[in-house]
Amino acid sequence: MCCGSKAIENRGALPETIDNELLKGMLFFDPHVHMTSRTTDDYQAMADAGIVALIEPSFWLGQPRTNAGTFKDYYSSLLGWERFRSGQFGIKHYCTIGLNSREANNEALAEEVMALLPKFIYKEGVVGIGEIGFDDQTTLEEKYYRLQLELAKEAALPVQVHTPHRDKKKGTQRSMDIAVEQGLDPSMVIIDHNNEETVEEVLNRGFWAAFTIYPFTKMGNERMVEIVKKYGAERIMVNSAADWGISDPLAVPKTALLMKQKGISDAVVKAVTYSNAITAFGQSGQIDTADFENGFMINQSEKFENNSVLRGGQQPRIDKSSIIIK
Amino acid sequence: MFAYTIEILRPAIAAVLKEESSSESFTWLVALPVPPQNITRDFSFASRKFSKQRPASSSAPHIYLAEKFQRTHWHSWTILDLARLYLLLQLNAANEQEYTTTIESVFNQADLGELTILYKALPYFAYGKAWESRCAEGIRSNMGTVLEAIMYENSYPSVHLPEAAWNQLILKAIFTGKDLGRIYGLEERNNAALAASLLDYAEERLAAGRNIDAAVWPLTKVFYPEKTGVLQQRFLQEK
Ligand SMILES: [Zn+2]
Repeated sequence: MCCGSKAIENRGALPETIDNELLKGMLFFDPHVHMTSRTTDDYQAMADAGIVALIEPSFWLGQPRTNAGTFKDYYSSLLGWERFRSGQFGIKHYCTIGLNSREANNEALAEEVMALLPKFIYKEGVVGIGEIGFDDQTTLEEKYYRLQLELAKEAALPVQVHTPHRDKKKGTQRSMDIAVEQGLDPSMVIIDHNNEETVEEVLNRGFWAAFTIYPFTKMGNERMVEIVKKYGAERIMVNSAADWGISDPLAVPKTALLMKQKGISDAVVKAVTYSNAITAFGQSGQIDTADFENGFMINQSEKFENNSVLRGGQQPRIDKSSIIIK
Repeated sequence: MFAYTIEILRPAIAAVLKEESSSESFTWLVALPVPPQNITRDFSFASRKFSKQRPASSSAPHIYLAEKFQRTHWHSWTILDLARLYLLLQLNAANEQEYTTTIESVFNQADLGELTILYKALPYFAYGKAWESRCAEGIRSNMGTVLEAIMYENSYPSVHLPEAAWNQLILKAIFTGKDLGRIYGLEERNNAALAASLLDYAEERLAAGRNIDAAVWPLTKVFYPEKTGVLQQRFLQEK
């Protein structure tokens, strides 16, 4: 009785709310979001907030995966079902394919998954190998990180590197050292989940620095504003990494609004919430901005005779404010 | 093996592709080993070589293709779709078991665009009967693009599906708001069991206060003229 109703009373007291007027005309690209774990309400809200394209990295699904078949089906569902689902809301869906660090610790399984990867990385809309890197920083994690860097080099694909929560600074340095040792050009590597402690070295060494705006455990967006004030926009991008945890699929547009409010120029806001991600992952050759720069996804293959345009985002809307459900 | 003349289709598609793609891409495609050694990879890789635009329908090769194979609505095929069909037509079909296993493996790890073209290509696979369960599986999909690939201007379902699967296709089409006018074989494959299911569905819609696609009435009328008339009347009154 006590706590539940109190929480409801407090809901109205949010300090800042999204001003849809300010969002008008702004386009966003979220380069790291796990839509498999999100609902259609999230897709609708993201489309409404101006997110026109996103990248879904393959990751730890949060459920047991004891054989390679579940990985195969997961990759297929990212490339099939999730791509379709996203398109229904007018959002262009890309993905990165990889064996994540946590599951790299089961060697027999990891070997089988490694054998699967070449079958998926050349598919349409695969913009990189990811998310790979370190979690516990074990020798097996290192082994499969290196093997996948090799694969990325061979396929000329960018790499999306997850950096560990624990022992982050050292883990981040080690991730970069290994990428260089394996002969990757830092401009092809996006180091993810940065913070104030890691950003300087990442940028100095020529890598892309991605920041995850994720409540309680990663970055808050007020801190992000300070980082952009200090380092500018070059090679910096923002993502939500929204997943099955308490996270926010609107983190990118919210951060853009906050930046605008704090006086950061439109050009810088656009770079870190839209164009830098496109430049970095566009090195895969898989991103055609004509597919979404009009503010919604255009399915090129659904254009009839190359001129009439069918758009995504045609899902019927439900009236959320009504208690009547028709 | 093939229910059509593959020796005509293959060069006809090649001619369209030659016209519509860069010489580099076209050379890549025709230089691949026959039969393809790594079809799943090449099938994916084709997306890096061929455009997702539609070919110009006014070109001579396209007109020829459309005239020779009229049951397919080639205008809705992209250049990439055609390149992928060309790859599938290069498979060795001598051994049914090997042939179907190979194509099934392409299905099993396909992305959305690949799945769509695979289902569109059903009429052009060898051993038509062998694809019944694959086609029925596609009808169970919830991806609209896959459903449309099977339902619209595709001659496979009406020729090969057993009655129960055919009825599922029609019910699913109506349930998901598809355009029945684009489904081949509506009249020829109509049957009493389907008509009865459609009438049940119509009653359900009526009870829910929702409308129904009028394209169902010609199908139900054949077997249940009176009940159809009564229901049509009730829908009109509801409006
Ligand atoms: Zn992630």
